[in-house]
Amino acid sequence: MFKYSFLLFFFLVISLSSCLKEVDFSQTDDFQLIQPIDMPFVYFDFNQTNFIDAQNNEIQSITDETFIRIGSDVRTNIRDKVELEINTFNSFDRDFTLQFGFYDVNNVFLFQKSIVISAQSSNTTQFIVFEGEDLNLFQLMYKVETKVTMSTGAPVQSNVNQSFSLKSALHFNINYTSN
Amino acid sequence: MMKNPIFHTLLMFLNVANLLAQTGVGIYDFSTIPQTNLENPAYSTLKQGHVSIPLLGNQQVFAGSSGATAYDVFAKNAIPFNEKLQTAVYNMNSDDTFLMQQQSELINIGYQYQDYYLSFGIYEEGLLYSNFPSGLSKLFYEGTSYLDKKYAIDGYKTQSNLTTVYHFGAQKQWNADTNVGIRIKIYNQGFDARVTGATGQIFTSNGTDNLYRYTLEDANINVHTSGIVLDNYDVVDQNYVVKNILISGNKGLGFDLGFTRNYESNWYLSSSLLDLGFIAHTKNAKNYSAKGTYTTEGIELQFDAQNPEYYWRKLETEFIENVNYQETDKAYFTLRPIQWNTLLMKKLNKRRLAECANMSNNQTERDYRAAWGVFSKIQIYNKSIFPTASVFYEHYFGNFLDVRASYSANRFSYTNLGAVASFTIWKINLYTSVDNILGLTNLAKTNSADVQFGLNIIW
Repeated sequence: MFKYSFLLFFFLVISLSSCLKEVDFSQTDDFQLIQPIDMPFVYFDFNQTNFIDAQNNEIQSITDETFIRIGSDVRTNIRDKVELEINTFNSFDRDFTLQFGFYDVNNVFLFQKSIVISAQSSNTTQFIVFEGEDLNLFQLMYKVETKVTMSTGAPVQSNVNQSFSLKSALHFNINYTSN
Repeated sequence: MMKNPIFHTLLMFLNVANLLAQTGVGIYDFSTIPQTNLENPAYSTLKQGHVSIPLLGNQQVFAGSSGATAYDVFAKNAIPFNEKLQTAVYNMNSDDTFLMQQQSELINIGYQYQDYYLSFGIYEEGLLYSNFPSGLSKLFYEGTSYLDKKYAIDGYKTQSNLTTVYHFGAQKQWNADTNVGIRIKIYNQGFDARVTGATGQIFTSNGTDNLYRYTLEDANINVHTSGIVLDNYDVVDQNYVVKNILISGNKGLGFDLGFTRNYESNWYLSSSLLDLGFIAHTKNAKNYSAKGTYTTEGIELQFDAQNPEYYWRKLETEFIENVNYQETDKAYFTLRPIQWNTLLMKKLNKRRLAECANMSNNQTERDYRAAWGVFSKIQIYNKSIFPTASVFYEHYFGNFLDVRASYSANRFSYTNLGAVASFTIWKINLYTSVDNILGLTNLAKTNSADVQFGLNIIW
């Protein structure tokens, strides 16, 4: 029976010595993927009544705030910069100042950014770019306070249709790696 | 820097060459290997008894991927790894599947008692099945930058579980030509996780009120988990895990059925149906479901100081309401992955035995020296069917060495050459089975592989 031993040996060798050749699994260390994200952000659409109170007095500025819960694993891996795209339409005869204030998870003020929207401007696009130290602070952002301030000028009249709208989006890239 | 679960899912599909399934005829109805009884409870090994060597009785690992191979991604060449990975991802689709099975026998004992060959054993088996999440993988690469491009989650299915099986089998010679067998199985499942019936699509488009709109359309996703709970790390230790896998998991009951029949014209037919059973997931059962359509264009600020709105909470609430998201602890039942085997064989070089011309429980030697045949196997995992067809030739070299060579085709490979050798010295039986021999010379280039071996005492 021992003449068959080589056959047993053959099968054992095949089954136990199967191998991986010409491959290098350590290449996973090089894994990198840049995922582009375009994310809708805040928006609103006002008319003249939003700037007149119950006593028919003009309101100079209005403020609102919202939490933005972007996962910490995403926000800490944002690559290079974040662009806040702001598209506005303003039929008022007044300029508006738009002010974004950013706060961390403990409601501590981080920083703010402002832009001016000119009177009688339609479909205007502006960008606020967060990079460098601003990006570091942005990554701590947990709450956004939005303040809209109307400049002085001709009185707003409740019976004259006027509108001020804003659309916005965040653009950034997430850096995935194997490390 | 960031690790992502989708990246690891991709690697799971591509790194299969390190793993091994019984893709072909394997040891089914072959030789004196006691574990053939687990493939067909009616098969007679013509022995009076057996004991497997604990933890060496039957060890089997199988893995197959119908998509890219490890070589496609990990080849040592000048092409950057990320480029190879992306090419592999884009070349796969949701029909590509990954299947990994592992089986480890703890003990297997058998003894001829009167007209019955009785056997008892315990084995542990692991299963991981998934089809490729093609749409989600492309979304992972492309983010939300392609407007109106729809990323389908249609048909995504996955399941993973770890089960200990306690089995008791009886094989009986029904008449001179026919054997029948039954095996009763008690399942103890340590954990189970499955996604069933996932449909829907995700896309980004131009918004109406805002610049962009995110849409989850016609989503229908059901996720079930049970068994070992990992959210309480004070409770989960090694003892907890072992206890759950071996004893205190979710219970189930099942059967294996089989028959063999010899025909005068030297033809032999057998068939078996394995794991006709279920598991009742009553312990730590969790069910998550979502069904519906949800769109968002971001947060609409109201600037109403008198009635401040909690916008983020509103978004979450709207999402949960629109997709009818639900979590329940309701128990659920699952069917075991069913396997149906059929073998037709022509015996060659028939020899005349002194004791009996036909197979019987008194017969101690096989009545033929060689055979060829065809074999088919159909496995069903989470409503996905895995068919396999084999042709084989086997030869018996005296009472010492039995060998079988086979060619098999399945959804993972059409060039699957397999071999089995069963070697018996005195009362020691050692067997080894390999599938996809060509692939084993370099696992990296193969889509599937299977290695099985075992050590038994037989008499």
